Amino acid sequence: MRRLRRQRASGGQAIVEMALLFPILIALVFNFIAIMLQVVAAAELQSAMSLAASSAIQADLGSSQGVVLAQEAFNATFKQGLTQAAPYIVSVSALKCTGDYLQGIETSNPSQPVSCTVTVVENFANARIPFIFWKPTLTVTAVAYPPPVRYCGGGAC
Amino acid sequence: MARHLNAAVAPRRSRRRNGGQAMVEFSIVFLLFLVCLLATIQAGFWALDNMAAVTAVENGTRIAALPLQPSEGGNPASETPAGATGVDAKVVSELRAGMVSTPVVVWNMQWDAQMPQQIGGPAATGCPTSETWVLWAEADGLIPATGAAVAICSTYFPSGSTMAIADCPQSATGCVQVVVVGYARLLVTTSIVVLGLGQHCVLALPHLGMRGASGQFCTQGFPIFDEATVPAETYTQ
Repeated sequence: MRRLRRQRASGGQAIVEMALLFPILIALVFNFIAIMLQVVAAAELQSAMSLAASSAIQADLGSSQGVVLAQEAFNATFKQGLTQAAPYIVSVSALKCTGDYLQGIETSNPSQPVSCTVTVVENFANARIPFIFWKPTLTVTAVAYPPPVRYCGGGAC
Repeated sequence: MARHLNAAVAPRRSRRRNGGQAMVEFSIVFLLFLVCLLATIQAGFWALDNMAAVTAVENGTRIAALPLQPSEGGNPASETPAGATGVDAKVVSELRAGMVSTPVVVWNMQWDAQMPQQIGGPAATGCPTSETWVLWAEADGLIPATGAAVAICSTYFPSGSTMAIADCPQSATGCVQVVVVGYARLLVTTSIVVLGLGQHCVLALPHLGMRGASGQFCTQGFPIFDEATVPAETYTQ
């Protein structure tokens, strides 16, 4: 009688254990997927920033066009390339580019780069992925070095 | 006597029943575990494919933004602008190396030029969107039947061009755009599609003369889309 009760008690034990563990397993899988999404978004953001910084130095020394080109290259690359398919990106800050070159300061020091920074806030709750509630913030900076023909005003330094 | 016999046989029978029950439970549990494992691996592969696309697009854009060299038909005197042509060939090997089992094709620009007229859409804007990709994947015999492949495409928009896209940086030299679009190959196509994941359908118009013209055409795979647009460079700018 006791053996029969033990057998009945152990019957379905694996199912009960799995029912307890399955939500944890699913949460792990979805968190892994969310991490993958974040890694891809970070790579895309870094790439867009790098191209934006490179675009900024295509304008002439001290021209305000540099920031405009950087912003447009960033918009066309990051916003078009990613955010249309990524509802988890909730806000993208304004692009900030600084550097002597953009201010029109002629320098003979080629190590003075143009630096661009942007901050993106993500919310995975918007991505309709269950069990994910984090809101990571990514801040990315990229630099570009103007070629000598630019920072020396076209002349030899 | 019969009671003795029953007492001897009953534990053996219940042991056999227990064995079968454990097997059924194990198969259910193992199936669920397998689905989770495959989903994790698929997400990893998708991320790898996406990273390869991001790298290829960035490198392709940098190459495309440079002016054509004289050996490639460029002319410094006339400020021949960016050399978007031939970029695909330069970047496609890098893209192929990075993709995990997803085929890579070069976008057929001639076909693309006919496409907007066929579907009655706006003027050609160069590289494809995800939807035009699906239509093209269906029409072009080179794409696998599953539609799981990515295409690389690069376009040069001269300054003031009527074909210039809205986001083209307002550079006096025009801009170049590089796009990688398509769908990553699925690890287990049938099981994932049965679950309704990874399937993307567009309405195939009858006059396109495509397969599935009477209804929707579907492709299978997780989407990959990456695009970059930068101002073109010339010899002096």
